[in-house]
Amino acid sequence: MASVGSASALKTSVSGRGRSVSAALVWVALSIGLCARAEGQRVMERSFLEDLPVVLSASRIPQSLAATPGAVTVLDREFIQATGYRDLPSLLKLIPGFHVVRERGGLSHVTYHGLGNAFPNRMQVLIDGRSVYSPYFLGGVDWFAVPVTIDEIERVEVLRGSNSTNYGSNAALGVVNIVTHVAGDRPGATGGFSVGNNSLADLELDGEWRRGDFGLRLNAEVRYDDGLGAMVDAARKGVVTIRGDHRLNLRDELSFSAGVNDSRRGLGFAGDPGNSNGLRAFRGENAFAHLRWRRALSADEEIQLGYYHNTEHATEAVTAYLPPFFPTVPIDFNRTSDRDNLDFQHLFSPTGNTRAAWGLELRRDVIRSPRLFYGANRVRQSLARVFGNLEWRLNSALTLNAGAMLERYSGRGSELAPRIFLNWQAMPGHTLRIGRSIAYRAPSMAEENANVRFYSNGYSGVLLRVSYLGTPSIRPEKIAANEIGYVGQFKTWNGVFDLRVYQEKITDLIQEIPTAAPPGVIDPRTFTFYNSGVPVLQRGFEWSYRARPGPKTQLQAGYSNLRVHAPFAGDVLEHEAPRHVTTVTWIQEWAQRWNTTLSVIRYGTYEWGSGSYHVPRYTQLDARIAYRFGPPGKPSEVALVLLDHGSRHQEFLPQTLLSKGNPIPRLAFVNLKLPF
Amino acid sequence: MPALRRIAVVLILFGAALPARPVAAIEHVSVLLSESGGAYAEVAEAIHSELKGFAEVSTRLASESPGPSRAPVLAIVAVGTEACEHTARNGVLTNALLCVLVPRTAFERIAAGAGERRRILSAIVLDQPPARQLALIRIAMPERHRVAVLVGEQSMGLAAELSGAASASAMRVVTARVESVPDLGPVLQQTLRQADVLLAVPDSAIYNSQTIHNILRTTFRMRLPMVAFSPAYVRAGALLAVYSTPGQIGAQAGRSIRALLSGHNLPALQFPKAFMVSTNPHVARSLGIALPDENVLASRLHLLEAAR
Repeated sequence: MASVGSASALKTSVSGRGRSVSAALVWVALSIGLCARAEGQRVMERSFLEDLPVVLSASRIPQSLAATPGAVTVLDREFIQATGYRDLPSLLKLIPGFHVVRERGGLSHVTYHGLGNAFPNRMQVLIDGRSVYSPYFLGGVDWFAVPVTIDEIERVEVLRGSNSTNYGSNAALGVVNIVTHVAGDRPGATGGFSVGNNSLADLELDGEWRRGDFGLRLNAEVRYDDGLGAMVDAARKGVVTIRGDHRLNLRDELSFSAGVNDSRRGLGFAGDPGNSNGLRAFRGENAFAHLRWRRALSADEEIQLGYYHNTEHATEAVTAYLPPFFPTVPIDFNRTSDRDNLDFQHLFSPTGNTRAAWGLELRRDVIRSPRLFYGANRVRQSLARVFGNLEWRLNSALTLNAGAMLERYSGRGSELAPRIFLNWQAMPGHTLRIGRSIAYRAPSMAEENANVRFYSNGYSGVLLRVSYLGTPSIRPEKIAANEIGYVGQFKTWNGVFDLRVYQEKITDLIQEIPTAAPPGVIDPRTFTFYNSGVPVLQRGFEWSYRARPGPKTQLQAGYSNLRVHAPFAGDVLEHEAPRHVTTVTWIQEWAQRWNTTLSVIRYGTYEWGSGSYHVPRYTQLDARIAYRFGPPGKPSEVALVLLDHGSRHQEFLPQTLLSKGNPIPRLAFVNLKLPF
Repeated sequence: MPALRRIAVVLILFGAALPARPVAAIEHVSVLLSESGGAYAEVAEAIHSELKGFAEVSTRLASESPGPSRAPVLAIVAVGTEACEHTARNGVLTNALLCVLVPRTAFERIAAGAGERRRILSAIVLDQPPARQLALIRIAMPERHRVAVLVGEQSMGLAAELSGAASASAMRVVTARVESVPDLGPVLQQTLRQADVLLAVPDSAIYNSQTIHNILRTTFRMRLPMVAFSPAYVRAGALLAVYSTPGQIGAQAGRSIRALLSGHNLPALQFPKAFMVSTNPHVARSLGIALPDENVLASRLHLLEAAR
């Protein structure tokens, strides 16, 4: 009884605090509204001096950083290329509030503000507006299997916060928006390869053509390395993508893209008897096709229509054993999931000082996984969404962003995800923002309907174990976030400083819990899902700073301070992400031909995997030194890249490797890029 | 040799204390800034280094009250529109008020309302001379001579001057008036149809961080390049820009004050003399424009102006 009492007491205190924060938000909003009118448009030299950073994804309306409803970090192509990173999680590690854990070769876990598990699933990832959030098992993103090459990325816009208002459930904690570049923008062909220690071998190809109004681009990459060493985790992938952009006339643009990622890696652990997570080879084949049509009705009005299809196919099989009677138990986790998505968006300016974006989205997911859904051939889920966003410039200093999404999954009620932000330009170049949003993480199909069974002969014979049973009545997780932010644009060093102070309250967190096994099973360990009655409270602040002190220098730094209050299940969720993370990246062009990049990442301690392993604090050091040669129009480049130098560390350690350790190997490789 | 060393120290100290010029010739120049830091500070720093040894320079924010009264200042350099306006309105005793880091239209508005003080008012504006902008277009893209220019209330005055400069260089300027933001789209498309390059002029009602994305998208869609007035626009997707840095403008201000010290008058309005050119090679490639390197463009433009 005592524990129930304390839980409800906490609930009261949390909501009380929430109210006082909202009251403070309203007060601040009113008071800044009163004094904002004093600021006119007198300081006209800003037209000449100001920078024009543009964020596209935060509200679906192109906005400057200062008018954006939320904290956004933008990584552009130049920055991405300069880091020398071979995968997306490495890049995201540089973003404040992001927590990246490399489990093994080809398997990284990425969360915004922790609350990780083996399948982090509260972050939405979009490539040109196409969701690559997997419908399989607990959801989330398999970063290694995403069909995108590093070379084709034009920019990555990361919203540090929630944005279900625009991207629906699962844009709950963090939204990563990857924008690939328009085909035919950089005509020519480039080939690149890398070789290094740890058997690292990469190949990259990029070809682009333009004829009149039609541009075509082809990208390919092959990446291979031996993984982390302590595990059987060599990882290899091949990605091919194609994109065509056709300007039909002055108003219409048609864009088509398609791609495939074929990956192989080692999964599982050399574990105990009966372990269904034994050593096995994994093969993933992810493919997509995406068609977009855009019509410009005027300079500030356009409509977009898009359709895409994603396919994820995976094969993984393992032979388990349960002595003495079942020496070989064949287990496979083969599955296919298909997603069809149709979306429409209309961007317009209702009045002189307002802009609006609204749209619809229809989606269907189908999963075939006899292991996950025993007895069901296919499991389907459909989804309908309608959203609207309004940007209202109240005066030259105040911008109000308000929006909401109404979303309905088949067989479930509707959810409304509203958001309101007020941005006040207190002085030219200094903007304060204050806002509140509600976001959701929808239960995955497995959390609702899983029936994971293991039989002695695959799918027949003696029922050995039922490991997961879904909970059809499970509710979505709800994230209510309050934030106060500041964006400062400084002439000194051309710097942009962004601060986010937040409180995120997560209610109905979906957790695993042991449940009664069906009668007669050999191994009675069965789990199911439930909504935690105690909310999780995340509080903290993070800042990012990006500067160009000179035309040849770029600096980026960030810091995150996170406190998680999750007083249940042994408090294990409280320490899954480090309390402090600091990152600094320095990119320097020395002469015409030399370039260097240095990144330092400092992680505080954390306990990944529900407290099973304590990761000591560590410092990661990455560097790249590149030399360009050949004609300036068609430069070749040779680069030496050093990754994970700095303190020897591990980011993930399962029980089975406790004695051996799972250190991240120090990589050194040479990359050569040649135009042809 | 401690004695020798002591003598050397005394000599050095004495030497350092000697003014570069006779004390009587030192004049006071006051630099008033709209804001501290950033471009304003860069201008002030350049003025300081130009006037080192020629005048005593003090710098403060225009909004701050001056300290206890000192000798009357020979000249005031107001850095930024706000400082210029503030100083033009509030009669500070001086022989000359030079406004820098001000857009031309803002300065002309201030000068019109300055009444009696107009006599002492002069400026080095942020705008580039129309002839320079057109010459850059001619050098960078010789085959394009129809230049679209959108003007609003702020920038109306620039249209006639651009047209004048164009006729002198066998180019044609297609001007269109934008009355309001919703008007912008149709006017832009209509104007671009009659032109082969868009020249952006500083008018914050037309070109700002809210509109720039759609304007650039429209120009891309119509496969026309935009020539802009600041490097930020080039980073955002304009093809090229000619502009002057705060340091260049500050140095010119310092030299103007030196000319004033030696008895010359200040011209009422000066364009920046030194400038830079910035290009976006990605945009050039995607538009199929063979664009020379930005340094090459800048030096050709310098040569052209020197030859005049």
